[in-house]
Amino acid sequence: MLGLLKNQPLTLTEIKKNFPAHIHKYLLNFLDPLVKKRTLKWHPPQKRNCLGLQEPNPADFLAAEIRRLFEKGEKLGFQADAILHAVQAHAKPSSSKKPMALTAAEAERTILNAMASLKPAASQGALVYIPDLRQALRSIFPDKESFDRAILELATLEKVQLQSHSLPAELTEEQRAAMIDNGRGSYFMAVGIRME
Amino acid sequence: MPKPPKTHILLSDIPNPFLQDRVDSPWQESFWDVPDINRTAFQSIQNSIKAVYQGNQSRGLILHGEPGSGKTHLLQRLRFFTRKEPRTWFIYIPPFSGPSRFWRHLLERFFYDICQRSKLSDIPGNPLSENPPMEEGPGQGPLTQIEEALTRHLLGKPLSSTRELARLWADICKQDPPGEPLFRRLTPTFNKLTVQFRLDPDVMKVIRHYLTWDNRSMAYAYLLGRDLPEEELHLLGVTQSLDDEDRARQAVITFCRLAGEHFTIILAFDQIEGLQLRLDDLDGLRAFATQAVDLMSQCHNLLILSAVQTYFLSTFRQAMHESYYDRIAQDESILTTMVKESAKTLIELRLRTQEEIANLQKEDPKRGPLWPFTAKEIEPLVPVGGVSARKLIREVRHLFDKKRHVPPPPPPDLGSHWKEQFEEELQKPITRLDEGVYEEGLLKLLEIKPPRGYRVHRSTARDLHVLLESNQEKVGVSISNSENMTSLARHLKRLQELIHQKKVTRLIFLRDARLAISPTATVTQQRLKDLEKSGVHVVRPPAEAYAALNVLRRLWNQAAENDLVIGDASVPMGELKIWLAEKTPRDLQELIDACPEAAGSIPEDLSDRLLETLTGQWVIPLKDAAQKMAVPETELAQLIIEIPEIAGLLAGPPAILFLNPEAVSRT
Repeated sequence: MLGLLKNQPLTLTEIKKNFPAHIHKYLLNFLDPLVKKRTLKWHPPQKRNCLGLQEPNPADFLAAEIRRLFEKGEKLGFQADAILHAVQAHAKPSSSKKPMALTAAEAERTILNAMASLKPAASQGALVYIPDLRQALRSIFPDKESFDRAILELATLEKVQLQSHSLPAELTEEQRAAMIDNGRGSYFMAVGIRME
Repeated sequence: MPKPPKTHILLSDIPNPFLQDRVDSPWQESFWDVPDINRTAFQSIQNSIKAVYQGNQSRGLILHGEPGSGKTHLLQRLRFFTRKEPRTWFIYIPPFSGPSRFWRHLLERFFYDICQRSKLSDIPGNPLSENPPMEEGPGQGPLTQIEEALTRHLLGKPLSSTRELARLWADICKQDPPGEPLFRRLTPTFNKLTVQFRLDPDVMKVIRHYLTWDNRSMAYAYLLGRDLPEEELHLLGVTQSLDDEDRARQAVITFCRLAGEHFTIILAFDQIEGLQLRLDDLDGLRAFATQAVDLMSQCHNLLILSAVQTYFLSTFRQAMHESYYDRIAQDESILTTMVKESAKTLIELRLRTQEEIANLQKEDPKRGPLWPFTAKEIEPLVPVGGVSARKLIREVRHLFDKKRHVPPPPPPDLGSHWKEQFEEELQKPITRLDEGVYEEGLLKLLEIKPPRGYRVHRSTARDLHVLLESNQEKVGVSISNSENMTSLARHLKRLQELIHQKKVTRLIFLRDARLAISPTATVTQQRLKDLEKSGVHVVRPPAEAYAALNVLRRLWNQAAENDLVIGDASVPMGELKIWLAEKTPRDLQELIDACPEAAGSIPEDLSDRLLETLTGQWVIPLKDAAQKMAVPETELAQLIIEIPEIAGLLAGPPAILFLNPEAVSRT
């Protein structure tokens, strides 16, 4: 099954085609635990729902809209980075839980200070485990989404580096949730201040 | 004005500069480096080196990063750095072959590396000569690491230029002809050093043989830890080889002390993850920690560098006592993922390695240093959080082929990769037939293809290397590649005692087929015959088995480090194990077959009963089938995995067996 879905997500019908007919009734029994363990992920429907090994990538579903947005922005004379910032700024208020109205600079300072207090050598580039940092900043970023976004923003600005786990299949659901999905089949497990 | 030729035409005959995406060893000579990439990580290592020689105290350093982020590349940069640094030795240590072989493995790597010409000579060479000076005797050619250290002692000054040291060594070597006269001349000096630094006299004597070219190849083999025949030991003037852990440890400590104070010996342990047989196997890691800390307490001039992946740090810490971890991870060097700018710099460097591309870039200034690429093409290759160097190079390799309109090559498979590696391994010269290769290789092989009903594990008993235990019996595997017939006879005697004391029910004795047992060694011959009479199975694996086990170990270690890359695809450990189990290379299968106790074939009646159970049913829950056949569910599941030609298993729940239609057509 994993081999089958290695390269692309498939619909249930497409998956069934790869198995003899008398197996079909057992397929859901087989797939269910894999979906629960998040080895397989449901993708949003395009024509039909698909199952895949990777997290669905919004770019696959919104390609036309993204292209239009950037084309229009460029026609109006905006640089790609400026448009990206505008999109990020737009995304922020949509968060259902917005505990503190931190500016980007405040968020950066808060995160870097927390890293240094967890590990003094962090200011020289030492890595801090993301689950530890998440825990330490729980009062400021009480929900997963806001914490993940703040870290990813710092990474986008190349202020921090993020290191992925090499054996994501070995992680429990709880461990995965404490890390950050890297969108490429694994999870960011550690963060470090970029020194160069 | 004629139009300039299109890019794909300009590039058509130029080799892809992005083909090489890994450094296999820091001793690899091809070296492309951007010093600004991972500058901070490198600076941390340099700080630790300095701290060791300034503080005259050993330190531990962990070098870590993501797979492909450049650990071995950074070690290669370090090795090149030590060429210009007279206060250092660089020793590279790939994973050792089992917890009970740490010192022997370290000795072999240590001596091998200190005999390398790692120091850059500052004697200007002949500009007309393209070839480096040939070494024809002592004092010829550039200094090796060990010659450099020794000459430093003889000069009596803590530091000198390489030129001064090389000249002094050449002068010493000119005083007498190479061989015995020179060996004799250096006796008082070596004796003085031996006493002054509390060194092992036998080891020092053999080093003297080696450096003065007196029975040099024998001396080299001895110092690598080979168990030499008695006549060769006699020629070297020693009584025992360095083939046991205690003697090997003494030799390593002697090398370290010989380097002297205010000096840094960098012991770079790479692919530490390869010390695990399974994810829960911590024996190798524990042994590494214990012995490394022991060595640090014996010598004050070591930087023990452990290269691991970041994710592995928690396992590493868990495997050892906290105080040991604190010692080994005293300093830290962290590899950084690449951002857009560093990615572009790396690509520019690689492009410049092809002269034709550099010329084309110069011809038209509009092209720029990234040509044939643009920044817009490169930047999207760097995701949020950064990208590893290997992944980037792989992506750019494709981009380059696209620019040339070259279709991507068909992806190589594990089978052809194995074949290539195996052929290469067979060609390699062998200085020592390491018993550890057999021990560790067999353990890994039997981990993948466990004999039915047996548990396979390392043995802690002397002379027994692998144990296969079932509810009824205990089969031991003993390995000896000793070239010394007296040692071998002693080994065989101990095996007789093991059987007599019923420590094992049955025994397999394994010895490489290339190592003859001398017909004049009557005691050894007799003991071997007696063992065979008492039911011991003697296996003499050919060179191909040794090469195959070495390839198995290498691929395993790479996969454990997420570093096994074939074509563009990274091969995870699970996939490697499945491939090895299903398509076991012939030489490995022959080795298993040669040990019938290890092969543990599937009872024919069980596969027949399975076929009978499934015929007509096609699909049946595992539980029901196990009940029908009166075997435990786990055993039945294991059987199905071993005989896919009869049936397959869907994991469930509930787990389901299905009949392979081909099995029916065969009946």
